[in-house]
Amino acid sequence: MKWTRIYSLYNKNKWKSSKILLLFIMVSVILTVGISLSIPQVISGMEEYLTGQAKEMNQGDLKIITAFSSQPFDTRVEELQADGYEVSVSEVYSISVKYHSNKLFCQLLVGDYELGAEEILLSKEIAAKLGLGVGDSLTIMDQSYLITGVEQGAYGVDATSEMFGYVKVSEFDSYNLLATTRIFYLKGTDIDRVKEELSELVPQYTYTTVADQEENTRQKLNMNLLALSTLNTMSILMSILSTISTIVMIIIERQKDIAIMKLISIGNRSIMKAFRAELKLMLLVPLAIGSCLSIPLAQYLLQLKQVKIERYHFEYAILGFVLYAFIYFIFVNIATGVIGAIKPLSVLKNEKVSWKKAVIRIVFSSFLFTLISLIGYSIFIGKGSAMVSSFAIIIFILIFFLITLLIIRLAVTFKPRNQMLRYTVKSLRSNSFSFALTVLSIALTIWFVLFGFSMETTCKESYNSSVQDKISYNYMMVSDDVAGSELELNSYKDVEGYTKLSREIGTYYNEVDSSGRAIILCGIDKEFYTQQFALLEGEDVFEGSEQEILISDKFSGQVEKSVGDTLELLVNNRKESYRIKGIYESGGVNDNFILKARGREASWQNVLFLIKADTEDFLTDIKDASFVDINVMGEAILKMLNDFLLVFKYLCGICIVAAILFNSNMIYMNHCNSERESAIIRALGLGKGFLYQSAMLRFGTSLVLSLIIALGLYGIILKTALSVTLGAELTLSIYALRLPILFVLIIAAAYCLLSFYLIRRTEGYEVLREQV
Amino acid sequence: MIELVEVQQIYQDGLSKNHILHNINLHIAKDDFVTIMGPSGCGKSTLLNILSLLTRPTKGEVIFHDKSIRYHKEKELENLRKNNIGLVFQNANLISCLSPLENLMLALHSKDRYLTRKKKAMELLDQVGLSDKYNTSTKALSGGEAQRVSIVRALINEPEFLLCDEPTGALDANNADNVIQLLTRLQKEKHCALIIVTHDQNIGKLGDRQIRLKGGRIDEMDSNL
Repeated sequence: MKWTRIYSLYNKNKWKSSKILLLFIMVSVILTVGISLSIPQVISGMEEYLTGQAKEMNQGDLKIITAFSSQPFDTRVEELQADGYEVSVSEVYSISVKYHSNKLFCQLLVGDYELGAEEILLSKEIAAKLGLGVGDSLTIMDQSYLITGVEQGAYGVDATSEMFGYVKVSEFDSYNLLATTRIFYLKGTDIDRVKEELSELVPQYTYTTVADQEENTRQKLNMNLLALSTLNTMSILMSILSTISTIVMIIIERQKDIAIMKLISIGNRSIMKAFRAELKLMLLVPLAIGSCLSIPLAQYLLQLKQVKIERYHFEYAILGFVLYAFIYFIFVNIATGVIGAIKPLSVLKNEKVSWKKAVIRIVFSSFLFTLISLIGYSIFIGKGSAMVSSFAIIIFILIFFLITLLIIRLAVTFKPRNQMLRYTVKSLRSNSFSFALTVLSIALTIWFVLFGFSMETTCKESYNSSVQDKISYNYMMVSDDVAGSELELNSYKDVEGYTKLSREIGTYYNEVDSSGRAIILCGIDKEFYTQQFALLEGEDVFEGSEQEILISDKFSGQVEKSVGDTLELLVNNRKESYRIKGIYESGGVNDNFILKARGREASWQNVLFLIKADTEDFLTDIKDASFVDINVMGEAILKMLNDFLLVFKYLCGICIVAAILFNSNMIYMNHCNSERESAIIRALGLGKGFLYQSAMLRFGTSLVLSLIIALGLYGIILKTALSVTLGAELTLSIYALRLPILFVLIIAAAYCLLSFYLIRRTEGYEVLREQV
Repeated sequence: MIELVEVQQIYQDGLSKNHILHNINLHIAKDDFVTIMGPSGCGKSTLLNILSLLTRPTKGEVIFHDKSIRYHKEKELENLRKNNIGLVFQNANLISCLSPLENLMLALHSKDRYLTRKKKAMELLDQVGLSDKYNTSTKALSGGEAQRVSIVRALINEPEFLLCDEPTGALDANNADNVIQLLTRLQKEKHCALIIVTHDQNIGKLGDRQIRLKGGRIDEMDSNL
């Protein structure tokens, strides 16, 4: 018989009976294709937009960020200016801005921004945090400004300003504030040669041409792509697993019909072709919906990043549709191979059919073709990094799956005497593969929740707690009225103590390789040294010679100097040599502070207070002062992470939906598989209570296992990442995990209820009987 | 004792009503051996479902232990089934992940100690000649062996009624004979009512009472007594 006849007589009429299973595949395909095809749209949209903005973001043909001054550099820049190069300079100060009850640490850039004397520009983060917009006014240290613009990108700023947020003015009385950085903007011809020449002069400065800016953008996007392709791989894997398992399930459900077809001499090939036609036709709809959905999804994600692009790449949706149709059709062919394993006589005589060989073949072919599909996808989006991350995640998931399988096998080795426990344990053992898949899918859901919605808080808490463990202050303050501020600080109970520093900006010169580094030489008086630095090695500030200095652990590593070595410093145009007598722990904050006892004859200048306080109440009363809450450092670092993860977070949300679907599919399939056993248990008079208890136990076990696996791996990954990038220890608090845990409990309860519902609605024992 | 009084079973199929059973009156007491026969679609399965308290009739009364089950809650019915009814099907329907011994122990509702329960299950397996198969996989049992396990499993709680739905349908003649002999022997030993639904005229004739169903009605009721 021709397959078309089988299709029209049989398969077409079967759609209705398999509608729930087919619906699972359809939704999973829509989500996967939607996510997958939106990623290249988002990346190329961002690339086009940011590359187009490169010159504006650089604010000149060459941007130079200088953390210390250099006479030869300044002279050469003056010469270039004389030669016709357009040069402008901005100075960067660390300040805190106040608006109503909000007080924020940010960077102030003073330079030629074509602004009036009382006009100011705000970065979008500062505007959002202060709740200000164009037309509002803002006061900075008694100087009032009118906001004339909010910058959506970080235009012509240094990394700190990008991290903390900034405000730009053209005129500002800097009082006793210390400019931490100068930014030079050069416009002119032959800029690469100028860059080379200047960087030979002072290699420690940061030089960025428009081409460098474009390259930075591409690198940033590649990192974005790496995270997004990880998500994409997970969603593809879940969809493939859902599709294959559901197809196999449908075939098993219809095995009797297939056996009868085989017995009436219909060939395997015709049956397979008819089934393939049914499934492929069913897949075309979600493939088309997913492809179309990718365009509004990409538009939405780009809007979130405030990226405006000229046109969308509809060709991605069309080509993607073709690519995914090909991929899914191959998987349909692989999964329908199980039809060949059906032995008609065995099926009709109700003998146990061995699917083992067919399943092994499917697993092997699917694994191989998944790898080929991911290569195909990487070629489609034109990024090799996507392939690398996809392969890495596959290996990772494979290891993860094997660990899960091993844990399950170990967990079910004990033989309880309670019959319900014994049945559940034995049933788990005999279905360990599908149980491991369920655990894996729940663990992946937890992962998506943890990485998408908890990682930011965990990183912030870890960083802050690490810093607090290492340093003895939690606020920094600069004040115009030093004496008045001291009086205020002394009057607050919440202020445990403070250390007063007199700062001088300078440079460290390494005569061996002529390299330099910006430093701040901090003079301390014994009576104002309440909050002491944690000494790691050597002597403290007031031990031994008062002419000797302490450097931070980070700085010591950077300049490769330790206790006993001598440091050549250039401070206020005078060259001085200091012997290092100790190394203190900086906790990654103010690494370049060099501590020494303040000379009796020296005057207090550029005073900085390092304050330890239990609350921030004192901040409201001290006038004309700028504050930095140390915790803001963690927040600022994580803002970068947050920016990077914004699209990731939204796609995580969609992946969670896909994972929930996959889990529901697994529950439904497990229920179908165990329908006969459930009926036997009911027929034995054990009742549905036994089944509910057993289902609860399974869920409890899978929840505990998936939580252990997900939290364990989440912890390991974050611990490594935090230690490598921020030098911080991981702190996993219930506060940071409360939402994921709550979410997981809700999801688990929902799965449990779904399972209960499926048990509850099963009545009768027809499944155990032959028709009489 | 189970008594059916004017029992009717009607299934609504869209607008049309499908009468499966018409005014069935039947009385089964302890120690009875009843066989129910009839062509396909005559309502044997439905009758068996009603007798085993799985389905409530659309009309009429089911009296169990002199009480109508009409107002019994599902939990009460479950308990009645659990304590009084054993079911045997055409297929042994053993739980494949459990051994024969564990299958029996799972069905045992007694609150005795573990070892006592284990001993009881082992004795029952001994009685049906499966003393060497306590812990083998159920997949390794022959059809006859599996059916024997399922019969002793149905009897492990000493039910008042043993309902068998084509218990020899999947067996060869030799095994079928053995199973019927086992059922009748155990019925006498355990003093329970045995109700067998069957196509097989020879098995049908063995019943003390033989009920023939036709078109949802009791067509004939013979007695060997």
